[in-house]
Amino acid sequence: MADQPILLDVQNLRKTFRVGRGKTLYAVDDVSFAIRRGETLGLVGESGCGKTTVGRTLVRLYTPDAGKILLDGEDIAGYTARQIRKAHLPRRMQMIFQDPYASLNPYFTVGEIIGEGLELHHIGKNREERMERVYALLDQVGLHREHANRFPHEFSGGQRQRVGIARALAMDPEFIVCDEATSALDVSVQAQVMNMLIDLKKERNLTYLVVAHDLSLVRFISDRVAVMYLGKIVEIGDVRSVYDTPRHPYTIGLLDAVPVADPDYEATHDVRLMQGDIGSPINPGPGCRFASRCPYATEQCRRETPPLASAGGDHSVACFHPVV
Amino acid sequence: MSERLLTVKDLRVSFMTASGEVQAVRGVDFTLDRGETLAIVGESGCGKSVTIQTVMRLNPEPPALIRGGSILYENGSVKAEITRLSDREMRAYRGKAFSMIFQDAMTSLNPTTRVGRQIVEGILHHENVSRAEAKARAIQLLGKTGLPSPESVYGCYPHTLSGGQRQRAMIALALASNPSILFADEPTTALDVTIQAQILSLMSDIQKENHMAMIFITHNLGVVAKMADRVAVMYAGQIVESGTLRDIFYTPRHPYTWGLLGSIPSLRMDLGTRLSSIPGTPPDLFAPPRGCAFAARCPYCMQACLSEDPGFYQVDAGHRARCWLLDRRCPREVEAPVGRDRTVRKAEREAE
Repeated sequence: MADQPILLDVQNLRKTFRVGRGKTLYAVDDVSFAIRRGETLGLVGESGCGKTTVGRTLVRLYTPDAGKILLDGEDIAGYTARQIRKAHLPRRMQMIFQDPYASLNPYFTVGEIIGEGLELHHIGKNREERMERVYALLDQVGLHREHANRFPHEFSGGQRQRVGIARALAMDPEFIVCDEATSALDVSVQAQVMNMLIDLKKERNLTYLVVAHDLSLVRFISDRVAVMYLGKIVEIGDVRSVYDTPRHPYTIGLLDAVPVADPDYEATHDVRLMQGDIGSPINPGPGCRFASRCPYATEQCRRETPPLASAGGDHSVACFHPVV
Repeated sequence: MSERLLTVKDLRVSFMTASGEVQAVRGVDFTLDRGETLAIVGESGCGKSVTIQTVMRLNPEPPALIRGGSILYENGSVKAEITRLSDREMRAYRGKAFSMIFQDAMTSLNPTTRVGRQIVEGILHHENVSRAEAKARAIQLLGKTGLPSPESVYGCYPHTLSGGQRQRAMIALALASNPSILFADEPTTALDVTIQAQILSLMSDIQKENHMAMIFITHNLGVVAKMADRVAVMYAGQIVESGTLRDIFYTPRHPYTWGLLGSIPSLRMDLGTRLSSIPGTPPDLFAPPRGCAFAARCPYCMQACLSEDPGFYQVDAGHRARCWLLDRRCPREVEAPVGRDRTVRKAEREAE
């Protein structure tokens, strides 16, 4: 993977939201990372850490306040809606959403949902040709052509998520953001959808950003992983390296808190509880954002923001006192 | 000697809907002893929530209908057949004999009433104490759940608390009258892992201290491994396998349990392995299948599975599974795809 060219290069990305009374929520604050073609980058963190905002900003559902998003070297961060259309960005990057109930228009048939993008982007010569493509897509995600005339409410959660995936694939994109694509599904169905995403990636040489809170799932599907905390990436690197030898105290605490489906392991494993709640991303003060929950925090941590620095190889960590 | 608190036998619960009868729970048996934790696992719609809601008689009847079976609650001199109690009689048991914490604390707490008042209400209902005493108890309970400054939380409305804090407040509410059984329906599913770890550890501590029995409903097998003593796996309204924690994780004997265990990614699984998924979807409980409910999705399905319900086989003391593969007459020898002891030996049919 390391020899592949970089598809997306994100530099110093910032996205804030005004939340009234002069307060600003720093959802994504000075985040940089790169994704190579054909790679799956997992993005993990607890709710409110900004991982979904990163995903949505990359596919330009949001306009970033600052920073660059280089797609094959072309900065799309500042693109207007017109430029986005002109550059055919939706044909290059797509998104699969978390909630298969809220993300499909209930007034559209499944065929219309999947075919809408084809129509808008004038893909296919005529209606018949587009419908053939829709049928092929349904087939590819494990649904049947008869399903094209049904409405979303006639489907189970797993089937709806397949419709969402078919819609994303319809544009034949290079890059897909999977935002908690399976977290609303039951475990057996989650496995079906997960395996399908992996197969599709191989078949179509796709590049994924997988946003999820389930650390086991991200480990299973990703090549590299980035851990976010309150708008910042605190650790990033090869999956093996980050999971086997985590360096940031937050990553260590996060991994330690995941219950493992092995009774003998759980019987002997004592979780070192991370105290307190995740802080607020509204008008954060100076210093490391994890300092208030960190057992190793020093005066320096409360004063300065630690930069993301290499911890050997592809593995980087943003901490003044990384754990060895 | 363990002390039996709850004995559920052949419980059948249906919902009468406009489009027919949904057989949500179809003959469930289990027992619960003081101080122990039973986990009920299974996918959405398998009847796990309906089962415990029926023990507390939380479902309005109609549309719910207890079709048959018994729920016997025993605690010292108290002995009650829950299925026969009237709504009025049930009030003495809810909150006192058993209490429940729900997945979503936001919708389970009353949004228009301050947290403290909701707890005081519970205490005053069951005990003859003054309002001031009840308030002191409520603050003490809130403190016990690890909430910082319980006095201020006492006066807070639920929406002003964070998800973890709300779940702690709901635990305090559930514990208000010192129940002997605590039902927890996906108590940590909506929480982040670090908060989940805090809540699970809190629940374990409280359980030990109060010597309380718990029934934990979850689909997270990691949480099961951490919390449970015994496990019941439910599918399509029935328990398909039950046993000790180790039985279920290390010598599972039902193909559905194999499917569940194989389909979850684990932090400790080898990288590059594929998840085994269970093809298809659960059966329609308007018209449950005649034979084994899992037959249509089971890779080991045989002729007998389609025509006749297998009933339980005794794998080991306390470990039972509902599968024809365990029958002596079954010619097939199979090996479990998961677990430590994978050789599936034939077993005796469990005495009715």
